[in-house]
Parts: sequence; C-alpha cells; structure tokens
Amino acid sequence: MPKILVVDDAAFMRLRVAKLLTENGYEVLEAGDGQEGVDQYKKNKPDLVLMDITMPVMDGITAVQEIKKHDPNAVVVMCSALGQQTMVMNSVKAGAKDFIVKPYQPEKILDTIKRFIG
Amino acid sequence: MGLQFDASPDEIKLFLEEAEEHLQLLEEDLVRLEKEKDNQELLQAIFRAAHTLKGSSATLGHQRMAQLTHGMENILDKVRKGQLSITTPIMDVLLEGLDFLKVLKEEIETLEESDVDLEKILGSLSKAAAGGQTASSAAEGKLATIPEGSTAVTEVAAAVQAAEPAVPSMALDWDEKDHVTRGKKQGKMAYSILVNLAETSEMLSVRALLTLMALRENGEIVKSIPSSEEIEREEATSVLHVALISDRAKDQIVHVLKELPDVVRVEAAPLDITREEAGASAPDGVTVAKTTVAANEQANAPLPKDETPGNGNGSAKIKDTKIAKVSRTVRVDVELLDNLMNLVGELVIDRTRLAQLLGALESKYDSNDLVEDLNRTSVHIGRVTTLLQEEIMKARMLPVESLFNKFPRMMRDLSQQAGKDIEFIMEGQETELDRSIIEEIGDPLIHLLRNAVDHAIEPPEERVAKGKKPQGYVKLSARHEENHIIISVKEDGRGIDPDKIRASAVKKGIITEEVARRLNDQEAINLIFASGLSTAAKVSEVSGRGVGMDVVRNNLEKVNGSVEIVTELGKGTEFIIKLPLTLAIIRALMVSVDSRVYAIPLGSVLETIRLTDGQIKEINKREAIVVRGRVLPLLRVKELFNHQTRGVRESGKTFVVVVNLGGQQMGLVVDSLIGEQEVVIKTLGKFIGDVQGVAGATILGDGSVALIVDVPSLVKKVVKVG
Repeated sequence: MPKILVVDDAAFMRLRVAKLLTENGYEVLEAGDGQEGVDQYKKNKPDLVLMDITMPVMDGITAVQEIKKHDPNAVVVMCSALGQQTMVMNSVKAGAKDFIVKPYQPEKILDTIKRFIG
Repeated sequence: MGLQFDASPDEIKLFLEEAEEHLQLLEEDLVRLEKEKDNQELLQAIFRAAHTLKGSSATLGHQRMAQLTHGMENILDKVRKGQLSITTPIMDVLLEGLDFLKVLKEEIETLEESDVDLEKILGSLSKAAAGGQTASSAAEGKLATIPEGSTAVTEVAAAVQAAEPAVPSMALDWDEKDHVTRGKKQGKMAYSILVNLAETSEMLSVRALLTLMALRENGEIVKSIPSSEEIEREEATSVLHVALISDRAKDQIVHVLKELPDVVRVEAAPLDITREEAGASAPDGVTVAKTTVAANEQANAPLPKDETPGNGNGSAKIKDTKIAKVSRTVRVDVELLDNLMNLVGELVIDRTRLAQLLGALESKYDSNDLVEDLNRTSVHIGRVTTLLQEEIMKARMLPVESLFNKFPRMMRDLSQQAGKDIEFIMEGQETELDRSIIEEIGDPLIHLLRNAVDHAIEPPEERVAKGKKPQGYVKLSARHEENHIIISVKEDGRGIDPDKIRASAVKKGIITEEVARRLNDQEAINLIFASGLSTAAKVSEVSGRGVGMDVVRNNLEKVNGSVEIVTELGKGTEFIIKLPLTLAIIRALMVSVDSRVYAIPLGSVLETIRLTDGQIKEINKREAIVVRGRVLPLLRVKELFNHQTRGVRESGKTFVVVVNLGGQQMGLVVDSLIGEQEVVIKTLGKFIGDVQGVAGATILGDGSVALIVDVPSLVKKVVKVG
C-alpha cells in the first residue's frame, strides 16, 4: 500500500485528507509541522508528501528543502491557499513536484497523487 | 435557518476545537500586537492563526467564515510585508472581525445560521487593507520596469492565438543556435513546442514553471518564452513557447505534456534553425543558454531563510526539543479525563478496602505464605494507584493562561469605554489549575476586573489631582502557594472606605446601626460580599449586569475557594482568591450522626467543640451556643437530613463542628468525630440530582457511602432564616 505523509498544522485538515486517502487505499502518516514532517519522512520514507506551507516551528518550504537534502527523489506536493503563489513558487524551486490549492477538491488530490505514484 | 456542512460530527468537533484555539490566540495576541508593534514573531503567529482558520473553514464549507478570515489575513499580510502599520483603527477593525468570527464559530456549534451581516465588516476590512495599498502599489508600479522580452512574449502569444494550429518558429540567438547544433550532432532532435495552459488555472506562474520543469526532464531547454526567470517572477502567461532538444520522439513529449494538469493544448514541430535569422542578437560567447543555467542555479541555491546563522549545533538542539514537545502531545476530551479520574477514585476506594480485608485475613491466618504474598501485591497496587492518581490529576491541570487570554482584550475595551488610562498587567499565566476550577472562576474574575476598571481606578484628572500617576494599573496574577493556587486582582485605585460600606449597609437594611458600629474595618469591608450591597452610586454599562460581589464569593465557594480583601483608602485594593488544586479529592473531617458517616470539607472547618449539657440556648427561636462571647447559630445534622432516630443518644456526648464561610460562622451538631481523611468526591448521579445541603458522596474503605456536607448552602440557609 503506498504511503502518504500529510503535513499540516491543522488537525482538522489532516483528518479530512487522511480519511479521503485511506478510503482510496493509501496508508497515511501525519505530521503537525514542518520539522515533524521532515522527521517522519526520514523515519518512514513515504511515497509522497502532501505539505502545507504556513506552519509553526518549520514552514513547508524549509521542510521541502530538508526533505530534498535527505532524499533528492522525494515527491512533495505543496498544499496552499490562494494568494500564496510566491511561496508555492519557492517551494517548487526548492524541489516540490506539484501543488494543490485549498480548499481541496477530493478528485484533484487523488489525480495528483496518481500521477506520481499510480 | 439550519446549516449543513460537508463533514462528520467528529470532524466538526475537531474543527471547533482548533478554531477555539486559534480564536483565543488571536484574542490575546492581537491586543499584545498593539503594544509590541515590531514583534515579527507575534505577527507571524497571528497571521498563521488567521490563515489556518481560513483554510479549514473553506474546507469545511463555511464560506462566510472563510471570507472573513481572508479579509483579516489580507490586512495581516500587508502588515507583515510592511505595507501597513498597526494603528488603532486597524486594530479596531481586526478585533471587530474577531468578534464576528466568534459568532460564526458558534453557528457551526449550533448549526443555526446567525443573522450577522458581514457586508459591513468585510467592507471595513478591505478598506483598512487598501489604506496601505494605494501608496505602495503606486510606488511598485513605477519601480517595476518592464522586463526585457516581455513585450515579445505578449506579441508571440497574440500571434499564436490568432493563427491557431501552426507552431510559430522561434528566434534564437547565436549561442542558442550553437546549442541546438551541438544537440543535433549528438543525434538529438530539436523541437519548437507550444503549450497552452488553462486560463483559469490557479497559480498560473507556478503551473508554467512546473511545465517547464517537466520539459527539462525530457530534454534540454534551449530557450523559453516567457523565460524561467520571468516565470519565477510570476510573470507567466497561459502560453508557453519552448525550444527543446531531446532524444525522445515528438509524440512522446507531447504525451508527457498532455498528462500535466492544466495543460489544455500542446503543439510541437521540429525546429529548423537554418530558417531562422541570426540577426536577433549579436554573438556573445559567454551567455550560453543563459535562461536554463540561471534557472538551474536558482533552483539549487538555498532559499533565504529567517533562521539566524550561528552555532549550528545549538539551533539544531533547540529544534529537536521543540519537535519532541509537539509530537508528544495528544488531544483528549475533558470527559475522558473526568471518567479516568472517577475510575481512579474507585481504585483508591478499593485500595482502602483491600487493606482492611488483608488486616482481617492476617489476624485469622497469621504468617501464612499466601497472605504474605497477597500483602506484598496489595502494597504494590496501593503504590501504583497513588501514582496513577497523581498523574491523572496532573493531566487535568491546565495553565490559567487559557482563561487569562481573553482578559487583555476585555480590559482594553473596558478602559476605552470608561475613558480611563489603565495598564493591565498579567503574571503567572503558566500556573496550572484543575480545569473544572478554571471553568468556574471565569465569571468572578471578569466581575472583579470590571469593578476595578469601572469603580476602583479614577479618571486621569482625578488621579492627577490626588497626586497619582494619570495611568492606573490593574494587575492579575496567579501563583502556587503550598496546596493552593492564589489568584490576585490588584489595582492602585480609590480603595474601599469601610465607613461608606457601613453607612450603605445600614441604609439598605442589611445590618442595624448597632451592628455596624461594632464591626471592625475588615468586617465592614467584607460586607461588600453581602447580597444587595453596592457602593457605586451609579451603575454603569460595564458593571451593571445585575451580578454583585455576593455572586463572586458564591462562585468561588462552589469550588472550595475563598476570597480576601486587602485595601487601603486612596491607595488601592487587592482581592486575593485562594483556590484548591483540584476538586476531585478533598480532605474532609469525618463525623458520625446516628452511626451514619458524613464528610465535612476541611477547608471550611474552623474548630470542633465538645458540648456539655445546657450549653445550647434558644435565641430568636433558634438553637445557638455562645463561644468566646459570640453567638453561634446551630444546625443539627440529624434534623437536616431527617434521620429516623433509632435510639435517643445520651446528652453530653455531642460535638459541634464550627464551620466558616466568608466570615459567617455556624455550628453543625454531630454525635462524634471520626477523624480527617482524604475523600474522593462523587456526584450523586442524575437520578438523585441536587440535594440541598449535600455536595456529593464518597465511598468509604468498608464500602459504605458517606455524604459530603455542602457547607456554603447550609450557612446560607441559616443566615437567611436568621
């Protein structure tokens, strides 16, 4: 079962996404901030990361850089709100593979994930 | 009108919990921000809270909340970027927004749509946001020079859209042509590729960059219009024109591109450089494939971080501890904690019973190996139970911060309304208290703080006339003291005049003139807790809520707390509130009446007196005794709880437990004193409900039930009758 790491400081958002993903046959790992996300990545090596941008402790962009340092092949998809284009841009430059704009449309999340890990 | 959300009850619950946290943070930090305008960290925290709320509420499907948070976030973002500065009008509109947010959050709780009209607040929010925008955007417009080549981009794009199917050729400079030629020598193909992105795609520039990156994975980009720098500057259009050399077939590349999100059309054609005119630019050997190299460099270069450079080890360590703290936290429902506490209570009771049973076994089969074994196990269980009890007590503790958080905002508003200049100071927010106690002390504290602003602190002119600083202070502090928590509300206002209280109490018929004269100053001041007494000549909007100081004391006593006043006329007043650490377990004096056991909370017991015959007198048709010259009204526990007396006890063996409640004293007549004990408070349960005079019950070591006497209600009963 493909493993997906959901990094978001809002437990509500994690719950929503985790539910969607488990229903569609993915194993879900969760992290509440960027640093936790990096640690989880190193420990569990998920197939894909859904990464929020605005988070305490460590933001999503820094987390992408850290993850990429550890694993250049990591697949990180940024989850952002409208109006964060610059930050998403920076994340992509830091190595993020794609982005999804909140509020999430379930199909969009699933499509995006399928494109990377089938 | 009912509201419906696309979320399960659990999800909504989680959303609400988090929303509450964010709202509290906003409440506290916004007020702080007004004072600490340059605190970037604070600003970031506030922005994050608004931002997260926006995302979550949009996902939940509460559009109005998302709109409102978006408006607030907008302002905060501008403040963050230095385009707006924190002014009182900006703070006012943000705080107003926060008030609306609270209403909207309630909507989600009740699933009832409120009738708040967001038009106005949304208007003020965007107006406030525009306040800083006008100046800076004009400046930006002037500063932003038109990037090179961007006119070409639009021209190309326009041309493409006019002549649809054809792939336009691309003007390459000498270096670029050389790049293509080298590629072809290695047996690669050169393509001119035109990609149309959906006009509606979100974050078009990022999408364009990702598309460019996908192409890069399939070959070498010789040139792109717009260039990757332009795209990274967020100047992308929906048309991307790329010159690519690749060893893949055209169809393969087109297929890859078509799989990408937001790509609506892909056209590709072989690139023929011989057809191109080199006149576009002069040869310049240094700028080989300028765009791609630059893009790569930028992609690899570390992004600017707000981390301070310094001792790498040190900062890493700090981060480590931070994560450890975060990841070890778990959300637990309060109810679960209550249940756990209850279960531990049962264990505590069983532990006592086990010890008693063991005693019986040991005396029956002394020095039996099995009994010895059982004894050891029982001692161990006892120890573990005690530890478990302590740990769960700790889990129920919450920093008073959660309560204090809302006060700075309240004090700010109150001071403004009252036209007073007041500095509000908070100390010891980290002090921990049982969460059920925290719930109970909110109202009393609000009342005391309101009083301080409304009645105690003088208007600036009056203060100056008295030789005081024009700005007064109100200080709210919490601290740990032995087995209690002390919360103090202290101000440097008028102070309480005992003579005024005496006069007022007499006028309102609370006490007689005779009594008033006999009261010492402290006793007179304590009269402010008597119901019906208010010294304020005028009742303002602020304090006039029909809640008096008597309610303050009652609420505190409900959680076994007490309140004391220290005041100096003209200098100020301090209310000192003493609270127990927890409500679940108390120390009690165990007494018996007709061989039934009762527990009297030790906090309210003053002393015990052994009665002798004839000591009980009848005063005003009520039983009383005289202790050291004071009349002490009596209440017989036997009568209070309607015991069907089985046998008449001999007189001369009666005890009086003197209890005290905010200066009011009375005696409870009991048959005998058993001793002090720690008891676990249990509620009587829903079937029985509230019984007057009973605060709850506890289970004793032998399994029997003892009622816990509710001292405050008894004192009130006696005082009322008297």
